Amino acid sequence: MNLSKIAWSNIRYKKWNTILSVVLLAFGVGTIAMMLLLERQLSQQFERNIKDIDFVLAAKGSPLQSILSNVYHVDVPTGNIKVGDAKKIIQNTWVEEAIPLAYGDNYEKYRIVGTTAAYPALYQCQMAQGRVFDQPFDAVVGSLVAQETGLRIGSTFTSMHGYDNASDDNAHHHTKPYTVVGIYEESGSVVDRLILTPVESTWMVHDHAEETVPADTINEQEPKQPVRSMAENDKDEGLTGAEVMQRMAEMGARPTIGGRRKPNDDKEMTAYLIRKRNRGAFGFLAKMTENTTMQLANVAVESNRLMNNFGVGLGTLKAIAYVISLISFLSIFISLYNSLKERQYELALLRTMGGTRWTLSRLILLEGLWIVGIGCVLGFFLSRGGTYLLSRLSEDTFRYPLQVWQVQWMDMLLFGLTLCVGIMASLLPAVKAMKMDISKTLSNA
Amino acid sequence: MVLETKGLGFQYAGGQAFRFPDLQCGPGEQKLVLGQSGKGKTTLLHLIGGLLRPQQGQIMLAGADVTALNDRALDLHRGKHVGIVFQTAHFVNALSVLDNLSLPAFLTGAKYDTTRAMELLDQLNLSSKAHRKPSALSVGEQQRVAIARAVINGPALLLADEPTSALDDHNAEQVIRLLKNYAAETQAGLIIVTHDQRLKSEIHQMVAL
Repeated sequence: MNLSKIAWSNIRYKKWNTILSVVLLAFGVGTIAMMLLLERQLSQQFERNIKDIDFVLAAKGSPLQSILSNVYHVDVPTGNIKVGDAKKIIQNTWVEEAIPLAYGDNYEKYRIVGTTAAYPALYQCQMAQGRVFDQPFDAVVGSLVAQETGLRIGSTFTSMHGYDNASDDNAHHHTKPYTVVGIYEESGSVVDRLILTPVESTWMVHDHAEETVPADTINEQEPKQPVRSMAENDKDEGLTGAEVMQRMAEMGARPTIGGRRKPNDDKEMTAYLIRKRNRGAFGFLAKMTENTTMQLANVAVESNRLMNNFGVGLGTLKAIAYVISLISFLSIFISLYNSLKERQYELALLRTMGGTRWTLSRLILLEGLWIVGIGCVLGFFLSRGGTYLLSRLSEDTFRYPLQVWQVQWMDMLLFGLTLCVGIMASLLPAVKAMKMDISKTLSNA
Repeated sequence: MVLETKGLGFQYAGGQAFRFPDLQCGPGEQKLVLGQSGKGKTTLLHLIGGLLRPQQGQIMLAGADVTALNDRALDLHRGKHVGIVFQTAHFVNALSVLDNLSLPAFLTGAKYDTTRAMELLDQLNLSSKAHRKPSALSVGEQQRVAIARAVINGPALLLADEPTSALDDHNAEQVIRLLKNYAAETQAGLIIVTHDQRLKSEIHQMVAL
């Protein structure tokens, strides 16, 4: 026999009181722990993905959507912009670097993004295997993509039309296959869940270049088209075999080719990620997009807005969780306090058998600790289970894998604090047990 | 002597003042303290058991002056040397009958002997209920378990406060027999305070309050 066993028996004996206290505490602490985890991981993800990107140049639309789609890849883009139009802005002294993004297809819901080597370099992506992409239809896959789809070096795959939903109404397969030439190491950034390829691949896929190969047609004949997304571009004819050759020759050509209209000027890009050269760039560049179909979105501003929106939701949930936790402490306190009256004879009895005042107060404290301890353990698993569930549920929409089992000092602090408050809730009942007049109690028996 | 009191006096705050006759009890001696309600029977028993502290007088119990012990030492001294049986039996309801019998040893830091506990339950014909909760026992059975619990530590002095007044004749007889037998077997002093006239025929040394 020991005191903690007696305490355990006692809380089991009043099982409904105990279950109420434990469940309340588990939900309260669990929700707080889950919010801490989500907050931490979301802000980590967000910060990692913003990196050095200052602005996003994309088609007019919601600036937030522009950021969500082009930086985080969680939303559909606002449309496409003409390379020629974009050049006027990105070939400006205010711009340090502009990274092109052209996308509209996916493979098993992972976006295929046409870009240049500057994009993976932005996130310091290291090659795990293979080499960087340099030919059209070379594909380098992110770590998560490789893990989830089983793509290996040398694998070939055909892309699916659309951004991430394979069951889109107008979804269809493109015929030209990509070849995996490399796999990135995990970078903790958005690249983990992307498939990168030269911009030309995207253009060629959407121009159906691989299908129409009439000889010596020249490139400048492409029909003018309104701003449309790559995903809607398919029906347009245009690129020829000769042009494909030329494209390949121009490989890696930044859209920084100036002056006269170049063959690529009529080509479309989904967006450019822009690094500014000096302060005040935004106002100047944004002014330049006036009266165009383009729009410059400020990453810091929109991300802040996004975090604030998330923050309100998380904050509300956290506030509710704090209230539940408080109620659970109240429940522990009331349950212990009430039990003193019911159990006054058995507590007095423990004294007559040699138990000291200190024994009784320790017993009550231990009962409180058992409840808080079980509540914390349950709460921890609840928070991780909830995060796992959320991670699975949001996988299709956001594709942000959450690290469910991550434990940080904040969690330790939370559980430590809970334990302390639990002890405080048991303290008054414990002191009351300590001060009990056993003679009086037993005379009234 | 197991117990020796001298000039005990006690007064409840704002209440009646009691003065008690001196009391001695040697090993194996059995005494009945009789008196009508309000004469301070329970008060005397609580003084002897160290549940109350007297305002006057001295109590020598099992070789120690208990009036001089501090609270903690008094609790331990009582646990080791005194077994108390109350009018109604109380238990730690969450624990089984057998676990309740282990409490005196645990609380005084003595070694607990399960065999001894089962032996006691056997003698009480309660071994089949060892793992039941005390609340599953009848009142008579509960009182018998309470006696087993009072004697399991081998106390020098056994105190009983109206142990039979809540029981019918049959159960009362069983309980008084048990108390007498255990006291005789272990050479413990036995003091019963009661107004139950049925006990006069069982115990012959009497003190009237």
